[in-house]
Amino acid sequence: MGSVLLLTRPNHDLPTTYLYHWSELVIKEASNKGIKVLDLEGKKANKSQFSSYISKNKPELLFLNGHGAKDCVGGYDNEILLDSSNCEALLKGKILYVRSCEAGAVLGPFSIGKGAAAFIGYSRSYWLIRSISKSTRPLNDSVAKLFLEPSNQVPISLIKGRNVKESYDKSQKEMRRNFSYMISSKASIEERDAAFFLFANLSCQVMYGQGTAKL
Amino acid sequence: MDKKAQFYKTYGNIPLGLRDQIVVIVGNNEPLSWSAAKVEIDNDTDKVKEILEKLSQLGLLKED
Amino acid sequence: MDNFEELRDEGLQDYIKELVVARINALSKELEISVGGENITREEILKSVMEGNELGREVIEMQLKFLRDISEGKIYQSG
Repeated sequence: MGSVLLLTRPNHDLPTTYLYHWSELVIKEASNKGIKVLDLEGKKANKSQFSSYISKNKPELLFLNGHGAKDCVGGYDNEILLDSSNCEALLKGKILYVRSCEAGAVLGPFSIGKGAAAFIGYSRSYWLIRSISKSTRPLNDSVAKLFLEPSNQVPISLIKGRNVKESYDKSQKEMRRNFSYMISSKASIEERDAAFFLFANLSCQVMYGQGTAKL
Repeated sequence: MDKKAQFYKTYGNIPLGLRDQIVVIVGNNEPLSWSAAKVEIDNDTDKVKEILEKLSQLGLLKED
Repeated sequence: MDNFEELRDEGLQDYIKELVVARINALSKELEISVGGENITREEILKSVMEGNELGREVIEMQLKFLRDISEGKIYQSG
């Protein structure tokens, strides 16, 4: 296919470590589809490498994990990787998926204004609920799975050839399906308690730009 | 529709998995779940008026 | 996000905060919460709710939306 995916996955604390491990599933999917993966893992998720990798390799899809705010996204140790100062230089024509808080509120629309093809992210807090007993085995955490599997559907759907709108819709559909399970009598007490937070993520996931854009 | 009827209609909409979650506080800081509120309403206790008023103020009981 | 006019009524605002506090306090202790890649304790969430800071207001509004969408059956509608 010839496409390139760049992802950032810092792992400087437990929540980012969860995102780090769950992002491996996206990397696997990309590799299966012959997509080149630029994996800025751990400490490599810093501003210098982020900018340099994008400039040299021109990835079509950026998948960013980490702490965020309305107008920026962070990497390792919350160093800011992307904000209004470097949007235009780095994002022209690209599809972004930002798995962090609030970036969908300001950075999302701003990036479209500066030439990004499309943006999917969250306009308010992005919640992740985890089981204490599974914290050393993030991929075995059945509660976190309810949050991260649908969230992974955005980049996975794009990798599989769906366009941005279809990928957004797929992620929304998976969140609704998980939410439906979590509020049913089949769910455990922990899963039911976590349902509100998935509802919050579902409510604030946003999409901007060209829905027809694809890899 | 009176508030009691609105409550029963709303209650029917509450998924089973969420009926034991706190939805209202009455009296001296006594939290009640949907199920616990229904028990009070089923038995027409002296808590009913306050329960229905609070649920209405929260926008959880809708007029038809 | 819905326009929660009720939140302008100070008395009701305090009541809603109490309700949200009770709901957060009742969350299973087996669960750990993180927001935006950072851990947050229940106590920190409760503090935010009581202070009414940005996170606290967001939690309150989202809790109200959650309760309302459930009571109105909106959660059963797809799309």
